[in-house]
Amino acid sequence: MRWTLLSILGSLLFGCNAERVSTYPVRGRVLFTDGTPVRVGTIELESITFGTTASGQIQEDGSFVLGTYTPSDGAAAGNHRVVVVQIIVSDGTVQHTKDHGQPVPRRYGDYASSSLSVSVEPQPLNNLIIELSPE
Amino acid sequence: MQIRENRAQNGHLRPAFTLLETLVVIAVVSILLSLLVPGVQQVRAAARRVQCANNLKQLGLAAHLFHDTYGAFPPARLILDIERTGLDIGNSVALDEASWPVHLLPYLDQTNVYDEWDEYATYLEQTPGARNHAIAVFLCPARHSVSEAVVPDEEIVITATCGCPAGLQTVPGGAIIDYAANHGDLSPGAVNAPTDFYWGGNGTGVLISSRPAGNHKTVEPDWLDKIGIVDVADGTSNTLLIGEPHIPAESDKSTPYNGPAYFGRYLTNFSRIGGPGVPLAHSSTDQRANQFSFGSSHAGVVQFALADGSGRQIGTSTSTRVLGYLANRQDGQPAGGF
Repeated sequence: MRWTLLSILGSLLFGCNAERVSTYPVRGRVLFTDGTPVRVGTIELESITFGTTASGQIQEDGSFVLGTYTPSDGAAAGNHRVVVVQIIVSDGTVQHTKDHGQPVPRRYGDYASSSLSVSVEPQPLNNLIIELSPE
Repeated sequence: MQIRENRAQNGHLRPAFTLLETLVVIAVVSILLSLLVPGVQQVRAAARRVQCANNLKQLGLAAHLFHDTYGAFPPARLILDIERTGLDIGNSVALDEASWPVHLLPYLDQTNVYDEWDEYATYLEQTPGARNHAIAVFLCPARHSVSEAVVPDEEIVITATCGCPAGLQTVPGGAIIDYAANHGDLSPGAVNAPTDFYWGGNGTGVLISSRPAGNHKTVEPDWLDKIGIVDVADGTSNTLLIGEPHIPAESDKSTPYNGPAYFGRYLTNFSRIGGPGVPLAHSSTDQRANQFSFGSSHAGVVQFALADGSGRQIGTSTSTRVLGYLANRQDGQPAGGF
């Protein structure tokens, strides 16, 4: 009886998360093949198995932390397609006063043309190094 | 009161609540209140969300009425890239002209406000009455009321998505709006080139930046790059029209997220895109979203009007691939069952 009650309580507590996929912490850096970091942009992983999207902002040193449901909860386990997206706007409303570093080629911004892929392991921390060709 | 009077007349105690009884009653009442108050707040939030969705529906209908008149949806704004088009129209004022909310005014019972607008003049040349006229249907009650939806001139350092702050600039004041046009996805690119999505005609959404058809100081205001229902190749029920924009708390009522919205110069005050690299914001503090992201102040969902005029809620965890399919009107990916 007691266990029935406990299990009902438990399912009430955790039931809300039923449709969520388990995620595992991921961080890393995005670098060009010559070793310089990508200075601005967004990195995104799409799980091939689950279809979930994990994304993170790229910092000036190329580092990032990924989140799927919350900003830093990581990504689902398994293989992922990867895109690296930069939005550089020059419509005259802002002047660019800072060095963006090398631009990320356009093809890395689209799942159809970005050939990048990574694997996320079900472990407490994944450290990824993403390498982009500047051409 | 009755008990205290009795005590004074008779000189001895009458039956009364003990301290324990009083404390128990207070405890029970406070427990009941603690159950009730969040319930009331939830109902109020739900009511605001419904009102917010209702406004979206109105905007969707207005866009269709506009379409009935002009054979196309209104442009998000007018912008000209002379190098790209070779269309030099002299002293073009295109970038400083009105944005899509102004074009919808006559279809939202706001003809009196629209009549204050001079279509041959720039935003800065409009009367304060025209610029500062906040309208309830443009506002989501969960975010702003009409009385707080006008912002004064603002001296601001705008930080672009590239992370680079530009110099101090003055953004002229005006009324804000809490809805953003679907400008498409990032597929045209944003690489500092004439093909970038924000130039006229490049957007893959429904209300996009368009090129003016001539110098509006002299000719009848008209625009190229007209997007009509026939151009929404993925189907109007599979394409976003207008939605709720992501607005971080520190940029509330401020450019480039939520500044004066009738002013065509600052695209992200009235438009958004969605897709890979531009996810839906999970909350107003979501660092993964940026000034181009859709997002809402409701938990877990962002509300949209689709191009067929219907309303739809989309979960914030929707994959960016599906979001991109919904934002792009002609990618051949109808994205059913989202």
